[in-house]
Amino acid sequence: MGTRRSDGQGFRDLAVMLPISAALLLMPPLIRIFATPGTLGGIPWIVVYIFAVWAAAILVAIAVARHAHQAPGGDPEARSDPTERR
Amino acid sequence: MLPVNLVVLVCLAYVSLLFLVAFAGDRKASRGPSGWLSSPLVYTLSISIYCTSWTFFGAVGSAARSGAEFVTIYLGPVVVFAGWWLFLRKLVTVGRVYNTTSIADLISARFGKSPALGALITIMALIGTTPYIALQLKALTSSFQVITFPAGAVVAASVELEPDFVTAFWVAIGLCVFSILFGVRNINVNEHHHGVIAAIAVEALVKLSALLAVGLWVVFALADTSATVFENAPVSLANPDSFGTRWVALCFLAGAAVICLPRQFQVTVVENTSDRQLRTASWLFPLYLFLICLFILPIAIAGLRFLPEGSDPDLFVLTLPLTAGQDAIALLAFLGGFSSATSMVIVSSIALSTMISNHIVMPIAVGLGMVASAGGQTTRGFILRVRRTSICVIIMLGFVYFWLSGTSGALAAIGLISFCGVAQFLPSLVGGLYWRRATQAGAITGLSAGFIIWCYTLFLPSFEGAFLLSAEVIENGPFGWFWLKPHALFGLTEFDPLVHALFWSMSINIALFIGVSLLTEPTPLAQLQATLFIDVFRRQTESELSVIRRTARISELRQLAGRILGPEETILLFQAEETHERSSIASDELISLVEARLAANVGAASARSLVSQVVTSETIGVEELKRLAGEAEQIRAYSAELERKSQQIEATAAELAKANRQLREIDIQKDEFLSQVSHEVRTPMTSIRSFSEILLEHRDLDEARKLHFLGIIQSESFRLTRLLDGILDLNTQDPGEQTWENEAFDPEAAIDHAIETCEPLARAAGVKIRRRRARNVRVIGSRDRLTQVFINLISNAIKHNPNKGPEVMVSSLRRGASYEARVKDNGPGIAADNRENIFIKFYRGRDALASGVGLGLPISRQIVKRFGGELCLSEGKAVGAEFIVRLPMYRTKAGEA
Repeated sequence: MGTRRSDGQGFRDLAVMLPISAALLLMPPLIRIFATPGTLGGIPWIVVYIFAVWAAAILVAIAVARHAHQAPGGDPEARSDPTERR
Repeated sequence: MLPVNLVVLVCLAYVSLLFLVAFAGDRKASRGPSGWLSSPLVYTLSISIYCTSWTFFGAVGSAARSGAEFVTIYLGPVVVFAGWWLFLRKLVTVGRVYNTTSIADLISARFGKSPALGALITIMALIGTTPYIALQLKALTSSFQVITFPAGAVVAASVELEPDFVTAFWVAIGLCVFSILFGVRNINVNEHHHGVIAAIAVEALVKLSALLAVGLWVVFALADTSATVFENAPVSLANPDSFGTRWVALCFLAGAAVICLPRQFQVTVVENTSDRQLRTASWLFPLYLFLICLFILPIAIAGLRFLPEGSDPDLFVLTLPLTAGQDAIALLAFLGGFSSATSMVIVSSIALSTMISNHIVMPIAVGLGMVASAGGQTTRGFILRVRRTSICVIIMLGFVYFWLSGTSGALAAIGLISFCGVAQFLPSLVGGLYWRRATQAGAITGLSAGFIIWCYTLFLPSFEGAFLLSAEVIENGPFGWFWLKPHALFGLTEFDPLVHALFWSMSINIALFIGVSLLTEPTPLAQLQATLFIDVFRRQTESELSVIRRTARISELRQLAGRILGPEETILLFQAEETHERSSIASDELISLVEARLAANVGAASARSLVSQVVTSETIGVEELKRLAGEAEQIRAYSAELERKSQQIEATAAELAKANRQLREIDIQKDEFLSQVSHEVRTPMTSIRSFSEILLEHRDLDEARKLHFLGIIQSESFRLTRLLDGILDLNTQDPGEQTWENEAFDPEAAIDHAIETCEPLARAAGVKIRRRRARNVRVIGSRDRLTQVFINLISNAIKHNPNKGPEVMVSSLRRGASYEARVKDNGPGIAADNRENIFIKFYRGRDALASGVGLGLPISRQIVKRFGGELCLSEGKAVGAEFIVRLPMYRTKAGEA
């Protein structure tokens, strides 16, 4: 029970963190770091960066969706910690 | 150039294929919507109508003009879908649970099934979508023009093509027919269009493979090797300035649009049938967008490099293969663009026509009493006619926009105008799903203000003077008031028009939405709806049904249902009720059920108006409502409280278990004590009894023996007395049992007294008592008791000392604030494992020969404890045993001990 619950908590944290971190990584000022003239294997850094973040977001989203599938049904919000909703 | 006939033929063949798919989908759905129709893959592919011809042609154009900016249109949706857990999940669940038919339906239902709000949102969505449909017409027309341009593709690419409005008109007509045949052949339960969705999924695959084919051809065939693809990349690609406010604004707009666009709402929320679909779409849709965007930049760069200067970048996807003579790829690209444009127009017009019929025409018809008087077939036919007409109106409005705005504006710019318009729904939508206090007045004010600002700052200026606002006003503001310039309200000049419009419309929209909501009170119905929507994940309870109490006749309700739902469904709906009871008055449950089924067809607001016509009385229980609203909060509070309580209970249980263990130990000790006591009492009693029996029975015993026996009896009596005294002492020593007189006294006197008492014993045993004394010490307590302690210790030291030259050393000294007395002998000492046992009641050491009842040391220890001191064995390894008595010293006021 204990481990399953902490797993559920971790998955919810991941599900919430994913869009926030993706948005932060793709917004200025962070994205400006890669707006440089250099290239990686002939591809500009900015292109490599945006598509890498994009691909990473997809991979994490797959993990989240898989966990959400395993998580027991019913009401996910009622099961969560009330403080989490602030 | 491709022959016009061939292109038209291919298009018609393609459309027929789509019809076949749609037909098969509808056939399968009528036998039960399951299997591949409701699979997450088809759902995700249908969501990809987000990628319209704007994506197919416009993304490359945007990339050629502004570098990386095109990608923002896809990053926003990626964040929204990857973050489905935060918002989309709730939105989709609300839509599914309450059979929402459109975004206007959802928002109006949330704010008390308000018809005004539904109508407002419908009008906003209609105007907001018009530029978007115009964009598709423009893309379709120009792609058709280019691919069939008589002078060849190279010329077509380099000249500015005059838009062919005749072609555009026929394309628009074709789209109308297409949409009506596809989407509005009948009114479906729950507004699910399975056939259309299946066809849309096929179109999604076609446009993706077309774009991938062009991209792969560009990278691997046209640009020699893949390594040189980015060699001619425009410098703007890595310009840090392109990642400023416009970047953020575009990401936000795209994220808002993927939720708020009527067609996106239709495929994401209305057509959703299970949580599983959304879960898969959360990663599959970002993946689809990823693949779509993968080759945009290479195609744009190749277009800039290989096509003549001045070519329209919006058509690179088509002109690149045409110029290279790759007619097959060009035709595939044309089909891809055709797919993306048609699918968008079809779904948009279906979604908008539903909104128009449910939120504008139905309320008017209900108000005029048209529905009440009409027969069943008439009403359903009326709704269908309204929807078909709406589709024609919507598409023709797009055509008119295209005609008025003419050639101006790139595809991306037109699309963004739409995005900004529909983004105005976002505050009401998000606020409605999370904020209880949000009211209908707040939503209406915020939406209207945001919409008016959008019209003034973005939509009307996009006509460049051709409609309502003249070019002069756009340039200098109305009446020359510079602070009302559409592109620089209040002198805010440093932003580009889109960011400027988004900033003003959104800020004022949100500010008014919150401000007016705080100033107004929601109606009871709005409160109920707010609770239902916000707590959609909470388990449904009985109390929801008891909030609204209505009275209606079953026969009237049945007539009403028959008009909208058709005879078959009505029979099913009322079947259960009829077998139940034969009452003429409908139950609250039945009325709610009928309203919910009507709402799935004509929207919540219209359904409510319709039901209200047959309901004779309606009350909303304010108390029930309060309880319902409180319930959710309570459940949350309860669960926190329960968790806290259970922790407390666990702690208490642990304490109780500990106490119980202690009690058991004490109980065992008590039992042992009792058995010891009875044993101890029994021994002397036995000898007393037997000796007294001998004396009684044998009168002829000689005097000496009699005396001897009497002596034994006497000594045993003494022992018994001592034992009883001891037990009495032990019990009276228990804390709080007995008060004793406290006085300050010199403990040395107690020791002297004890030594005197033990003197005869010592002399008899030949033990020598030595003495070392402390001076000026006073302790507080009972002198007699302390004397008793020392007598016990000294007599023990004398008795348990088999040494040949036995000696007892009694010393005392002051140590800091305490007085310390030691009684030491030179006997065998006490074995390590016995050090604590000797303080246990009735323990008598290993030499059972020694006299005494084994109570001396426990009693002494208790006495010393009452003095506030301690009695213990010295840890020293010297010969013999050494007992230490430590007592706190009594201090006088002068500080003298």
